[in-house]
Amino acid sequence: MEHQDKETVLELKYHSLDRFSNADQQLRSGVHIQNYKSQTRVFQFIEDNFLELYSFYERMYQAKLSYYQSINGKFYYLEYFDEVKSKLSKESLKSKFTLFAIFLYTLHRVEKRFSTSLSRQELVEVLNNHPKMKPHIHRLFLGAVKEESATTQTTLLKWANDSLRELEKLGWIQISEEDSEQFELLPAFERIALIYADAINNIDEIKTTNE
Amino acid sequence: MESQDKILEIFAERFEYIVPNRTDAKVLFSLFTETHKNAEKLSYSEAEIRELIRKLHKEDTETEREQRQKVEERFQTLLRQQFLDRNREKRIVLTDYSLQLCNLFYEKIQPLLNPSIIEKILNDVKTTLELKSKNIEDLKVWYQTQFLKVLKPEIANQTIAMDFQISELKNKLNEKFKTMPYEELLDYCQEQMDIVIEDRRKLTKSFNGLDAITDILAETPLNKLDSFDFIDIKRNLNETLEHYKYKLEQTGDNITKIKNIVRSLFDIVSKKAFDRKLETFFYQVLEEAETESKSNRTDNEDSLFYAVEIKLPDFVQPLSFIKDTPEKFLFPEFYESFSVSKNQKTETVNRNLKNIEAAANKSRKRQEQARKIEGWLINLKDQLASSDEIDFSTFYMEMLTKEEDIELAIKGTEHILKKLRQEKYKIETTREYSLSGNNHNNAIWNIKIKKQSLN
Repeated sequence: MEHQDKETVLELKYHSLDRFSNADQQLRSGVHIQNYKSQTRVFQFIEDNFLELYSFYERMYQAKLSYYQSINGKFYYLEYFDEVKSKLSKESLKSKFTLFAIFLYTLHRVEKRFSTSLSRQELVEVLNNHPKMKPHIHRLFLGAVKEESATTQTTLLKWANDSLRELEKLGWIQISEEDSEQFELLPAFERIALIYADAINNIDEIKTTNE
Repeated sequence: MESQDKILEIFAERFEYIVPNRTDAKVLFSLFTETHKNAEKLSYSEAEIRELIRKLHKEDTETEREQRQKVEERFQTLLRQQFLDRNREKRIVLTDYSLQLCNLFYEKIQPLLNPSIIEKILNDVKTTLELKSKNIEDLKVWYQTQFLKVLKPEIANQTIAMDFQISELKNKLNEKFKTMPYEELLDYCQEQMDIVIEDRRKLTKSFNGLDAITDILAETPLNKLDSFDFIDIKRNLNETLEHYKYKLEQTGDNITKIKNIVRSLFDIVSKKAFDRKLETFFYQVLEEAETESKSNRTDNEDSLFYAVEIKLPDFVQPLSFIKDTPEKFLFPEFYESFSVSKNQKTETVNRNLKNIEAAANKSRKRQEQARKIEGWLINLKDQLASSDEIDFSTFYMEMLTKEEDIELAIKGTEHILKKLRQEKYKIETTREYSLSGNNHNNAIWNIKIKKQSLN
């Protein structure tokens, strides 16, 4: 029976509620959704129902369903409206994982020339051998520059592994199912450049101020 | 069509085996398109043809005289090979053979991508199929007149058009990469890729509607009969649909290939300003970052490592993301199939008691392991009393086989080797290892234990 005071919170155009629940759970768990393997169906669902979902998150949670089209592909994520606190809470990545994400993004664009498939070993090799990076990384994680040993290797590998797991939860990277040594950088990894765009573009001024 | 020159090039390339000279091929297709634009213009003067050849035959190094000779040569070849002919008024016309050739190509490039056409045709075809699917004779007629003559050609056209659009995109991007300034190029690539990706998305959506045909055929009463004709039609129809779905999937692969080309071409362009800044940003972060706490090891971890927390400089804002716990979600019943949140406080008194019992069992197991390890240490020392050198890997395997407890064997090795080092035994590890006979995932480096007196 219809009630006069009934209000429709969300009217979907296509697909089933199942897909909504899946998309909703992922978005509210901080996952970035893109047209990639297991995310394809959810991505398509958001594409088809974007306006409905946008208004749903805005009305229900004061959260903004955002998207960004990078050269590698489009991705969706939930975000606060500028300066307005949403009903949904936020969590921050640990600083060491943030540092890793910045390292990985720089590696991807500058050292690896936009290659999106990398291996854990490649990362540790760079951390241990890159003439400019090594002194900083060893100072931060090993106390000082150290000879390669099982302990130093484990420390750096552990940092890389823990960080990769965190980035995978965000939908920024995907560890290969066939070979866990390999991982792929996903389109949503570009989000890091969006977040730090101001700082990166103004780094010369920041440097001067800090000196 | 966007660029006549490009189309002429494609035509010349596709029909190279039939018209070996590229200028000849271009002349033919130019005349053909001219006729298409202007239906009254069916014949040309010799001078017009020569001028057209001269325009399409570009060789800068030739002198005026050489060029005239070449033009004449091509003109005569086209006549001799019966690509061109003279009509009653002695004017030049395309032969039937040339017309057929050009038509063949024209049909390939003519279809413009229009996914909604498929949707419209599909609606009509579905309606007629529903009516005709009750009788095998009607169905045969439907298959011949509706499916083979109407729907299939349109699906084929749209797939070809998609393919053509993608190859055009590839050509356009290649061209622009050579000439366009970097910033504009970025926008251009983005815009062009978006168009193709969006078109493909629409086409995929309309192709999904083709499943309705299979569904109708599956539900028709004819499906229950052992009619070979019906089975034949159904099989042919499904094969055709599968074939075009596959072709459409391939266009997706081609788009991915273009994406990769774009990516690699970006890289060829000199290091961009943003990347230079990114590099500076990263090293500035590294320089100003500090270690917050450091301890050499934690005993509860499997292997040794430094545990470090990092403090980042103020200009690096924390990476924060919306992350809500599932129990706060709106419709809990939707989430029944998902894993239970760690935050759910469902522990009861009984559960606590169970935990205590589990902890006590664990503790008892640890004490038992410690006693056994001490026993193995005594055993090893006894062996060392009668031998100058012991192969520890053999000893380890014996310990593992007898105890059938890998945790004990590992902990035991750690403890025993530590004790022996303290007692100044010499422990030599080689780069070879021994595998466990029973458990192939378990191995140990070959370790020799020598008495101090032999050092």
